[in-house]
Amino acid sequence: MSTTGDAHPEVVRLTDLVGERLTDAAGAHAGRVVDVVAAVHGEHPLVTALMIRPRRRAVPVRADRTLVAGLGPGALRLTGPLPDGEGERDDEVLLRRDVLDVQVVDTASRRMARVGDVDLALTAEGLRVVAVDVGWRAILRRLGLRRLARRASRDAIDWETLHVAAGRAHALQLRSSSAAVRRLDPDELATLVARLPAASAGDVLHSVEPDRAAAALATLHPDLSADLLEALPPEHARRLAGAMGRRPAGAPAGGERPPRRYWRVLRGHGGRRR
Amino acid sequence: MSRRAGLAALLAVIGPGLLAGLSDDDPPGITTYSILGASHGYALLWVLAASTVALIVFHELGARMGIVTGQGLIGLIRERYGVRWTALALLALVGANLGTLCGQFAGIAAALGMAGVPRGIGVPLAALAVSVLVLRGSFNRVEHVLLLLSSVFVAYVIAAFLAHPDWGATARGLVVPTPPRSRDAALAVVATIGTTLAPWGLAFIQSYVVDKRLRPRDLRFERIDVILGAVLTGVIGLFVAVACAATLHVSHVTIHDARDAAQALEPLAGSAAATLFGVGLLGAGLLAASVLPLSTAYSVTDAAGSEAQLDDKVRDAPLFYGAFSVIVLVAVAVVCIPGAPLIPILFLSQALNAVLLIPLIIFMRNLARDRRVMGVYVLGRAGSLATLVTIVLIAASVALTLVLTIG
Repeated sequence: MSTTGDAHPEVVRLTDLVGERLTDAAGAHAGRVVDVVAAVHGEHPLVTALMIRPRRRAVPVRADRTLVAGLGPGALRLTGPLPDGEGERDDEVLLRRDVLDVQVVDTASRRMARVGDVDLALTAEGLRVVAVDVGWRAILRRLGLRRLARRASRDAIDWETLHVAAGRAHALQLRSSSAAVRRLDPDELATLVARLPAASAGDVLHSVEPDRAAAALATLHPDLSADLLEALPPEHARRLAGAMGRRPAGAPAGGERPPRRYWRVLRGHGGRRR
Repeated sequence: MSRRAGLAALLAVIGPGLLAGLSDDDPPGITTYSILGASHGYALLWVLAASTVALIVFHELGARMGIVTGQGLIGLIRERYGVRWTALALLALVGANLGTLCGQFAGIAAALGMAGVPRGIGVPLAALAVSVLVLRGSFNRVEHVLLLLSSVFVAYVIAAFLAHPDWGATARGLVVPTPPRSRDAALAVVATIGTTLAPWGLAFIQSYVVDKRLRPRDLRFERIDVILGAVLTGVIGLFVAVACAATLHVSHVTIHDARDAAQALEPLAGSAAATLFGVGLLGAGLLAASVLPLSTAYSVTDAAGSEAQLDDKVRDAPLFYGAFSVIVLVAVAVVCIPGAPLIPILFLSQALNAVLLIPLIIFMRNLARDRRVMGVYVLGRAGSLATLVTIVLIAASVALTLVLTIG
């Protein structure tokens, strides 16, 4: 995919790309973009293909980036015939399906947010995912409230510092050697796993070195660390529990615990469990 | 698992289903069940039985979705269907919650009115008190007192027996689905559905199982929790309706205010019936008026994607505190309108619930049938059929009410 004109790196929003029309080599309407495929390698995933719903066909097909030229409204065009079938590959995510509107944890500012849009920047290798917008601006724009959106603030999280909470993107991020979780210190790791659903937190703890995982668990509220150990395969849990036992005592009773919405209000009703 | 370990596991899980189920025995719920019995005798009791079954089906679904995905209902809708559908679902939920909160404050106003306290003073003070207690995290100090006060509605069970109802007609009414033939009967059917299967209860149960970090292995016990909560609320609702059928219906009393409704407790409490009813309304109203705005505010923040919670400062979570404040202020303002009729607010808000419930349970069904969302816990054929039948019957009831109202 290439852009025309602008010498500066250009940022394209995922939601602007999805729904865009494509023309064929002869300039006729060929279909619409239904999703964007990106390979989760390196610090910024590279867009490898577009999922296109061809005209008069119900099932989307994959158009590799070498098959698509032009970028921006009305500029997308196919340089050859579309192949049949084929979806994402093992190391790829569909950004609309797997990332847009999904919860992410910002490991830098230690918060959980939901993706309102995905920013794609044009680099020498092609389009790369650089950040996600989790602010009001993206939501209002997608609701068609463009005037309000212009007044709303943008709230971006760099892809390098985020971790997708669950699903395919979460699994592929954990497989990637450059994933944010690999650079976190135990304290940051604790913040991350405290916010994730138990199963995803278990995946994260399983994917980092046991010492770091044990150190992270040791900083959590004891109830939460016990919960997370239960979510791990028994042998791995035993190893981590052993590593935690070798650490100096001091797992704080007031350590990090997941956000509790009703517990404080309704603790008379089973909230004491954890 | 030994019997003792099983019981311990059940006790650890229990809560969301019980609370979400029993929350239906709030002022709008008690009023609706009272009208069902007072105006229609035993004929429409089957609606209560059917609504209780629907409550079990959809509360189990909400709990299952929370356990499997770790997300609340509105957040899950956003993840799967995007911001536009989320806006629609949120509008339906907030609209229903606002109506129900108006119902809670109307119940409080009715109770205070029986004690001679003007609603213009009593309702804002009550709203301020519960809001401060909830937002400052000190609600648990009064929670047990309010629970005790609202438990007086269990008195309906004794009152119903003492009123010597027609048990044969009760049994027939429960199992023979007599179709509603008048606008009032259709409205009573719709309001009974809307109060039993309240939209806020659906969002609350899913959010609460996430809060408790329940896991798939807890699902077996959570189902017991759901059934317990639904059956208890159904049984209390049944006895409210039966008590009213045996007292108010046979003496042709129509419920115009809280004192009329309270007469159903006279076989048990005699001249203290109004006091007993008022105490129950006040306790249940305050209890629900504290959790409902909280649940609404969490749904709004879920839609936007923020993780706001009670520990946050106001400047860090303006949306959360803004949503909480706005829904409370609007509901108080509606109930404090001079001369605003309290019984219609209590009753019609529940009919509105049933209308706004339809899009929400359609979303729930679609999400639960989606293998990408639910994995191996996807809704099976029997569940898909049961939820489809429920949706169709609710939509048909609403449509019939509209036809009878317009015609």
